[in-house]
Amino acid sequence: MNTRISRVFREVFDNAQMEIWDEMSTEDVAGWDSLAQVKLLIGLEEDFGVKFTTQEVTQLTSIANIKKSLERKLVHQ
Amino acid sequence: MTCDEDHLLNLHFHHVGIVVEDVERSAAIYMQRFGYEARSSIVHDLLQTAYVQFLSFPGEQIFLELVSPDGPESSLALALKKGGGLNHICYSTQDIGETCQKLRAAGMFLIRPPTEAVAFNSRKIAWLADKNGTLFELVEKGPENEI
Repeated sequence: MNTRISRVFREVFDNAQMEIWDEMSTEDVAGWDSLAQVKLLIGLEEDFGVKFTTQEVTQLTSIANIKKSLERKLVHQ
Repeated sequence: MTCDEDHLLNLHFHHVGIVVEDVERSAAIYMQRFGYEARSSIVHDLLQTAYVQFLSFPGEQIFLELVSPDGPESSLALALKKGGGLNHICYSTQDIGETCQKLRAAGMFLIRPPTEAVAFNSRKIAWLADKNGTLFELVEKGPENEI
């Protein structure tokens, strides 16, 4: 899962060397603003075949939260 | 993004939104420079945390929407900080709920579900974005010759 999430982050932030870690949040990444958040969620939706809710735009502000949400959605698929 | 039912959405181009620092000052420039005329007064839209004014060329029903943040906490403050300018494209639609569902199913992200908007006489608007980060607004179709 980390590899796939990482791939989406690298694409959105156009940084092939970008590393992610569980505690990483919007405060750790320059440019992780509301628009980048939407791009990330669309990228993750396409990669994992899930749908996020509108509320999750403001909730999924760390890698840990993103992973938890993805795990929940993938279990219920 | 693809949408196999494009022709069924029945969207109409409504306006382009431009983020400016001062709506009144920018409106004066657009009217003098291009020949636009004001189609609304400057409205304070609390939901959008913005001041809004619509312009159009005389007799046209395609608009320019000038928007400015109503304070530092406005959702538009970041857009202005980045330089402002072209911000979003808006389409009008008869059934905003159904259009949102179809565009969501086609891969767009629903940022704000349909909500009444003071700038449109309480007709509903919704906000979506695509993977490139382009912002799209939808507005419920209004009576002819209204904004």
